[in-house]
Amino acid sequence: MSGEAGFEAVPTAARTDVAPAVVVERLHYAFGEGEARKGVLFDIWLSVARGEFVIVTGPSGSGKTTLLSLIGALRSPQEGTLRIMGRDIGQLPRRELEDFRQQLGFIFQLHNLFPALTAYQSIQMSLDLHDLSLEEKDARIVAILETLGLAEHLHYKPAKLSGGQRQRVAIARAIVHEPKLVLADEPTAALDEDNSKIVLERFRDLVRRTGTAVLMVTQDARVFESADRLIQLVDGRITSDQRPGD
Amino acid sequence: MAASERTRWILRPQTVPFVRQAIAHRKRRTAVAVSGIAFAILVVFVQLGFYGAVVNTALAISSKLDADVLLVSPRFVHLSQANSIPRVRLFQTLALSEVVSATPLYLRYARWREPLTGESCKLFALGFPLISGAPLVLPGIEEQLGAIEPSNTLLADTLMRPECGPFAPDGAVEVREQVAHVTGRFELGVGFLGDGAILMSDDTFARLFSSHSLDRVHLGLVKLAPGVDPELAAGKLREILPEDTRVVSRGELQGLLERHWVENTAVGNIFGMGTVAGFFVGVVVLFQVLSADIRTQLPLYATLKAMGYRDTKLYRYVLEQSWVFALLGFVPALIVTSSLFPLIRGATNLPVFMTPGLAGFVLVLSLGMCTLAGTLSLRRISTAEPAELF
Repeated sequence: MSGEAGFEAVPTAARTDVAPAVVVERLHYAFGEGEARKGVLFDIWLSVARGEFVIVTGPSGSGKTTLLSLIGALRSPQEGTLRIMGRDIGQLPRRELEDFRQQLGFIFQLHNLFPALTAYQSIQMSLDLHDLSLEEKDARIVAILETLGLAEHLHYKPAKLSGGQRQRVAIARAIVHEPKLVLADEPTAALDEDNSKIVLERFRDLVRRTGTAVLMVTQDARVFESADRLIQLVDGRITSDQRPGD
Repeated sequence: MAASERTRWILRPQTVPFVRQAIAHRKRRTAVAVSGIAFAILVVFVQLGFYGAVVNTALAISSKLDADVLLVSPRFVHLSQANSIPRVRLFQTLALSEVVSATPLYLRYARWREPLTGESCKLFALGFPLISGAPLVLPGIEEQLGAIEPSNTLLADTLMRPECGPFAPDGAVEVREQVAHVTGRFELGVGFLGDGAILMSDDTFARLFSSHSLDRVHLGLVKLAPGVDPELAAGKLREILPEDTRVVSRGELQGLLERHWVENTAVGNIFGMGTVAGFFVGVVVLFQVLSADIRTQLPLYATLKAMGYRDTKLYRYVLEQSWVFALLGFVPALIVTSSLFPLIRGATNLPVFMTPGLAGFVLVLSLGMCTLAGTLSLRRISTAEPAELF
């Protein structure tokens, strides 16, 4: 796909027999009104296939997070088209948008766990939106907490967990329902190297096993190698899109 | 799977018990909310208890009158401001074959002084011709009519204020500065109408209230033949009686009295307003607690929205919390009030009672109060913006 900026998107080896997970065309976005209006994203063209792990990087204020929130249907596009899993989310009514978000997995910089809920319950809150039996929910929660090294902390509330453990619970909550698209904002920022590897391995496993697309914003150069594609965003424009190692 | 394990699975809630967890986790916040609501419900209970006493006051005598239809003055306001009608109107009612009897009832406030203690009380006096039988349907009255045949004898309400006496062995008291003797007792209780009631013959009434002629009647008690429709009979009486007499059914009289006590007296208005004030105290307390709670947890609610939780689901969480607070506040308020009312009755002789109706009404009011507070705080939920989380 080619944008007006002359940028060539990298063909992916991921599934191409179905609609791409993300298609962004001619996307512009600005904050504020009138004279205070400030452009954040300019003429973004982007396609992410299902089963693709894409990292978006760039300096602070380059528009990475805004792009993520637009793709996650948390903001409405002002100009351009945004199709997620084949659906134009700019056209979706509010109610459908709420339901649509259930197919996504969000990982925020802050864990945002409810202090009253245990790790188990926080993750179950995500599964409660889906039609699963209690046994199935239990199996999934236990399995994901085990793979994230939290098997011993099933019934711990956030106050009893370290920062890294809380972040892993938040990650488990975002991916336990095997979403079609995971949008992650600096998910490994609070993690040490070992735990970062565990989390990235979870992402890779999800991509491999369920065809989930992962779009991750990070400035952590240690994790670039894990991705299928690395997109550089500078001053609201995509300046490069390549495979790590190219 | 072992049986106990199977039972655990069956009993487990299918979804996270979010509200229960939130309430149990933040014990201090829950304690503040429940205390505030319990206090507000207690205020509502007490106010409604007194409000009920006002209504009971209206019905205390009127509900015991032994009559099917009543004759009152067109200027009738309430029992102590009844005005009067000519006694002859009662005789006129006997022209109707449906009427069995028509008894005059004389009503007045009487200043009563207990000679031993000097305590002065304001009692409500009822006079009637002994030959007609007791005007009130109360246990034991009919049997005591002989005891008030002698002049200046009377039956006294056992529910009058205890300090009113009588304390002399012969039951001597001063009524309107005349010596009278209490020769029997009956149990009535007149609430806010006075410190108690006294019952006497029309002769004694005429002696004690010498300025009042027995030809002027305050209330005419008309009894009908068995099976006669009071409304029908009242209609016929209206046709034969002149405009100086108003014919009312028991229900109409009670309605007049209730309206007067509830709408036109200070006590009715004070307790009515007190109930409203208690209600809004509860709304404000819970609104503050819920709003502060939502404000501090706004990013968490925003996270739930980002996950795909609908606003309506989050609203339900808040409303469910407020309902649990309502129930948690209601129980202690009910227990305290149930203990408080007998003490109030003992101290004041006011007819303040905890009834299933009152408890049910306050429960509904409490749920309404908390629903209103919860609804007002929902606006904050809608400000939870998931886009701000990134």
